[in-house]
Parts: sequence; C-alpha cells; structure tokens
Amino acid sequence: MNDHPIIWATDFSASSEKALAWAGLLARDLESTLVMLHVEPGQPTAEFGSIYKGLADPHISEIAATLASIKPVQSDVRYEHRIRAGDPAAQIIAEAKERSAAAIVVGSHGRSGVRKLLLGSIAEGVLRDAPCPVMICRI
Amino acid sequence: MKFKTILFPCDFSTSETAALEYAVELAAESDAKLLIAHVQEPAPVYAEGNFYTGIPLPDYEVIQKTLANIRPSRPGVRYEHRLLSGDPAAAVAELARHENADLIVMSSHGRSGFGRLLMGSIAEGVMRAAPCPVLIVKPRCKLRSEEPAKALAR
Repeated sequence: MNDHPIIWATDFSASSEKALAWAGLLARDLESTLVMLHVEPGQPTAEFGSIYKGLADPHISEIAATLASIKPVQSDVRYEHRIRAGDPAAQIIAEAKERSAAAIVVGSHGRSGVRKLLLGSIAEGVLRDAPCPVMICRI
Repeated sequence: MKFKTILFPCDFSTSETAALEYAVELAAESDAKLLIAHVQEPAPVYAEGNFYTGIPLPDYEVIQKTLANIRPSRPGVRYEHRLLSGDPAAAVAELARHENADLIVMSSHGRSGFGRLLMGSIAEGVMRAAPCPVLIVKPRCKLRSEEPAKALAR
C-alpha cells in the first residue's frame, strides 16, 4: 500500500464514468487508494433588489448520495468518496496537492464539454496545473 | 480487465525521463509489457532544380541503437522496441491500435514542444487519435523526490 492516491474526478457525466474503470486499474496496480472526487461548482449568486429570494443551495445530501452510490469497477480497490466545492479544476488540483496524488484521472469531456474541442475546460485546467501525471480518457 | 500492454512513445528528449519512469513503474506493478516506440519523421524533400543534391537520410542504425538504449531502469519488466516512420502522432495511435495497447504513457512535451503550451503537438495529436487512455506526464513530475508528485515512491 502507498500513501499516494489516484484521484478520479467525476461530474457524473458518461465521460467521467468511463474513466472510472481505468482509474480503478491504476489504483489497484499501484496499491493506491482511489479517491472518488466530485467538485460542486456551487450556484452563481445574483441579486434582484427586494424581490431577491436567494437561489436554492445545491442539495449536498443528494449529491453525496449520488457519489456514494458509485463504486469502483474492480472489487479489490480501496476507495473513498470526497466532495469539495468551488472551481472544479482548481479543486481537483488542490486535492492532488494536499494528498500527494500519484495521478489524476479525468474524462476528456464532462457535462460542460464541447465535443469538437480536444479537451473540455476542466480536463484542460487540470492538465495545465497538475502536480502529477494526468490520465485522460477520451473513449 | 488489466493493463497488458503499455505504450511509451519517445523522441529521445530529456524531458521524457519522468514519463519513462512512470511507464516503467506502472508496467512493473501491472506485470504489463512495455512497448518503447520511436517514430522517425521522414526528411523533408526539397527540389531546387540543378542545385538539388538531396537531403541525407536519417541513419537508421544510429536511431536503432539510440532506441535500444532506452530500457526500463527496473529489472523484471518485459519490454520491446518498435521503430516506425511517418507522422509521429498518427503512427503512435496506429501502433497502439495494432498492438492492442491498453494505455499510452507519454511526456506532455518532447523535442518539438514549446514548454509554455499545455501540450506539445505530438501529445495532442496522439490524444486525438488514440484508441485507449493517454497518461500525460509533465517533465517536472518527479517520482522519487520531495515534490508533490513523488507518486510511486514507497
């Protein structure tokens, strides 16, 4: 076992879920913990004078339940679930730095990705600033 | 499901050391075969009328020796070399397909990449055409140091 986890970042998109199998393989072979990370971007704030009633908070408990329902593809992988809030790429990087990750695994295009681009904005942001190798799953 | 064949494309630049180390560690831990590949780009052809004297062909013997010198630093890793010619990104993707590679591990930048760009053009082209996931290792990722990416150090 080693202390350098594999961080699999998910936005619950099909692209990120495809990457999960590869993340699990890496974690198993390197005997690393698989950190299944979701970053909740949060709601944009807006004010509309006196009629502003605020925006509904994202349902963190629902998000946590969705994340918790995701299990590694491989049965023999140690894993944990993790939720952070903020800018997705920045938070993924922060997690990788804090945990001294062995690798970050992301899908090439998440929910916000424009398919004709090589990489979605989150994958690109992660690749730009990652302190560790990044596995991009485009298939 | 497991990593059986890991492809490491290289262009003999020093920026690739971290990627090779990572590929070797992963191949060792996964008991996968490591394919160390180099793609020789054909020399550009010029025709300048009477003055054309031809461009010397790359010396394949030298290239072959250079490639053969790139070996896993860790004993017990099965590896083979592949020397190809053509467009690097296309040839790497094609080799991955042909050899059923499960993973390509490569440096974000080789000899031709501008460090300030996110990825070199070859890494980008490989990612575009690859039939499998691509693990991009930046040159500054160190495996056995106090850097955050000490990765596989145990």
